[in-house]
Amino acid sequence: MSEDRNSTFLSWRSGLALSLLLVIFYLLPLFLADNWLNLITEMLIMALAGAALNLLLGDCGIISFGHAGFFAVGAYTFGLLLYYRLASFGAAFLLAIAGVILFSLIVGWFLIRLVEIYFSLLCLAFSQVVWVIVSVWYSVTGGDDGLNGIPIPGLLFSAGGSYYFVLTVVGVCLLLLFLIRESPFGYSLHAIRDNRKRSGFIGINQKLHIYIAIVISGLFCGIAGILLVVLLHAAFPGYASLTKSGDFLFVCLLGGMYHFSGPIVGSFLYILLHFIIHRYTEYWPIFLGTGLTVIAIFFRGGVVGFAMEKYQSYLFRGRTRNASADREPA
Amino acid sequence: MLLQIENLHKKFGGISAINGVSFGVEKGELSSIIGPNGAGKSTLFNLLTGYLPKDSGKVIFKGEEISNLPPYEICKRKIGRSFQLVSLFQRLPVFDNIRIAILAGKGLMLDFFKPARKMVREETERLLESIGLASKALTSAADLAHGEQRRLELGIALANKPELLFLDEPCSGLTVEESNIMIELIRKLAAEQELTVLLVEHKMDMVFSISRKIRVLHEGRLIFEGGPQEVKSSEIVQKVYLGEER
Amino acid sequence: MFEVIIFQIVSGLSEGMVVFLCAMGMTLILGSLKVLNIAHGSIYMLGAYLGVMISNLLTGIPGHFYLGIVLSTILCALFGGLVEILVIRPIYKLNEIYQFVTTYGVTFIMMDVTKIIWGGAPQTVNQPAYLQGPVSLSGILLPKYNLALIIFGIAVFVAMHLFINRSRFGLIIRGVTVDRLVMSIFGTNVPQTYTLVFMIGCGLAGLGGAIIAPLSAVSPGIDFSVLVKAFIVIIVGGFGSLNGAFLASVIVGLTNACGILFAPKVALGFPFFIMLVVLIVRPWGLLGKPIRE
Repeated sequence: MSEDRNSTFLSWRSGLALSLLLVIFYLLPLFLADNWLNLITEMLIMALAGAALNLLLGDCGIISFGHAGFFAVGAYTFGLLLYYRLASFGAAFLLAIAGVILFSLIVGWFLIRLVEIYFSLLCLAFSQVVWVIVSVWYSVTGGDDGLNGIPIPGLLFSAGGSYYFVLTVVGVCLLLLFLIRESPFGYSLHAIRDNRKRSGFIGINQKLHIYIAIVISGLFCGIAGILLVVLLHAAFPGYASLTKSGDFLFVCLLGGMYHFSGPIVGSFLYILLHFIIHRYTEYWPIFLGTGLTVIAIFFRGGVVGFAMEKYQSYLFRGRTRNASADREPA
Repeated sequence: MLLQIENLHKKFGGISAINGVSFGVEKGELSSIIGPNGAGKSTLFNLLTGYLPKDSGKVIFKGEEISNLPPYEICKRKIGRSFQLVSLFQRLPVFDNIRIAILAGKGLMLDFFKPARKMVREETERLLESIGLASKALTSAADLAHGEQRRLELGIALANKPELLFLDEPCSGLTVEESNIMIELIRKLAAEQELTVLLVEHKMDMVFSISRKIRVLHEGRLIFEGGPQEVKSSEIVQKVYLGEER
Repeated sequence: MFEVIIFQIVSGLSEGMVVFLCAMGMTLILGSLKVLNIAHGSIYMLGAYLGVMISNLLTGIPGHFYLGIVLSTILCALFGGLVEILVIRPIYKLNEIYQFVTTYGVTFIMMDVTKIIWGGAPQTVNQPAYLQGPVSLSGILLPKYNLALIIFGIAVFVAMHLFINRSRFGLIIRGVTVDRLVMSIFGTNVPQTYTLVFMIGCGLAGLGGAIIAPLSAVSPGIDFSVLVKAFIVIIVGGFGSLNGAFLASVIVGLTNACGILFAPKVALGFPFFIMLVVLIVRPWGLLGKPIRE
């Protein structure tokens, strides 16, 4: 079955559907209580982080065990600047972005020298170093207690305010990521993923492209970290933990690595499931673990992949009667 | 001389895979390299296309030394290559396999915001037509039949309009009929696009039918160079293929 | 001051030996089966819990402590075999991401299962009386059990060495590591070998967990803490290298111990820093096989 690249999603029909979805999202605060809004805000942030990671994971075939590093660098840079009143909100936002880009540039330079498991583990190593720094530097970062009570401007302090802010930023970022994925650069990543050797020989400088992908991916993941600080008014070492990196990976896998919407769907499902199950039992990890294992063994395309497969076979089933007519030589 | 190879050496551990190979390829030449298994043919291609670093010697293309360039630089200099084991972009449809190759060949890959699906449509369609895969444009590369995959392999190599083409066993795994089609395709495209083609093949009738010049490699050395008739009647070549009498 | 340093070194080395056992299993599995078993820390934890439980259950029977260790090791090996057959076998040929995710999933399952069975409170056990307390070595008082751990760790290292390099099964393991196809042509039951190797690796992890129980309380969370240390060890030592794991465990153990002495606040970060440096300068570890891009 051919993997029709997004053609179903770029028709005017899907454009309309997306616009409708967007309008619904913007109207939600009128209907939902604060705690629900916060939940959706969390979903949006996770969706951005997942989509950022998926640029490397699903689109380039590169596994990073340490994306929480980028996330935490964004969060803490932003949080520290605001906490110590070193910058205004807008300036802190921009400086934090610059900080993440710098971090990605440095980390990426080391990463591209490695491949496969070594690459993944070096990512882990960098994220662990970030984790250690923020855990141990108690005087500055509050250590395990984290940075609490980070001053967020009044407009964004409420659930509704932070929701709109996050929704807008995530919306813009996802749009950018989508455009990048559909651009020649995005295609080059797919080529590198599908056949690294060959991609070199059609003229792609793999190392350069992967480096750029790392920086882009790290940047958007860092922005997600900044947004979490806006939501929670706090930053914790857990933002850099292996568990957090694992969450991002899981979200991409759950939703589906090979579709743009995969990580987005995955995030929403993940946070929703976590929320629901947490109400009834503290034994969430068992569900998470079983879910992970089952998906990895049986549903590798994730939710979106599974849905697309069913949709495709539905389309083809409708066409079998006309198949011979279609195959007549033109 | 379009391509000049001077005294190329490559050792793997203690074994000399390429042991002082020198020859020149003229523009427009359609030639083949043959030799028994282990003679070093694929190693030679890997050396010439930047996949393996050489130990010593020179490879000069249009007056420029290309011996130490990485594959993507070699591709930019208008050298194309197909692989012995079909090497395609498996998850992508045929159309995109070619489209990406064309985009990369034009150096347009560092564009971040233009929608790629609108780019180089016509050129891709033309290339697909010329290799006979227009009807399979939307099929995943992984779902093609072997013969079709080989043609796609050739198509990708042709995407950046190369001047020199290295084809590593393009007929491997094809039936006699498919091989004939492939050879005719190569001959036609070479004539249309004024290509210089260097072929490695095991199927002797293919080799003899298409090549003007044949080079014989044995144990890393070039032991014979000549036209099809000369090669067929050469004692040296026969000994190498059939073994010495002791 | 000198006594303190020696004490710390012994303490650090004994902890290093325990991490070594866990890491040895992990690197064996990684080297031979090319699978990174994230759940290895969880098996270590399982070994610790089982060791404590069995030992305490059998109090009164002479040698109950050792019985606890032995039985725990065996049970962990068997459990490992189960995991390999159910969870790992389906995904051998796939992309590493799936291996990571399935073993990660097992980690979470085990995390909760241990909580369900044993609760969250720390479990303790005591080592045999004659291993309790200090012994005097040229005037310095050193804890007996830690010394015993160091000796035991070295003994297991030597034993594994002999096993891999001298025994028949060790030969099979080495063969399967290099080329599983050729080995299967020669009649080796490769899937079975893989399961056995996985079981040995898990047994080692369980052993490590069981023997550290008297020294540090067994509670949820030790799975991740040992996992991270084992990661560092196999990266620094080199994937698949037994000697490397030993060397790296010693280095990490010593660094930890001395770190705590001289710079306690940042000591937490030393192992990570070493790992970072190794990955940058020599990614294949101290004794691993060099890899080139």
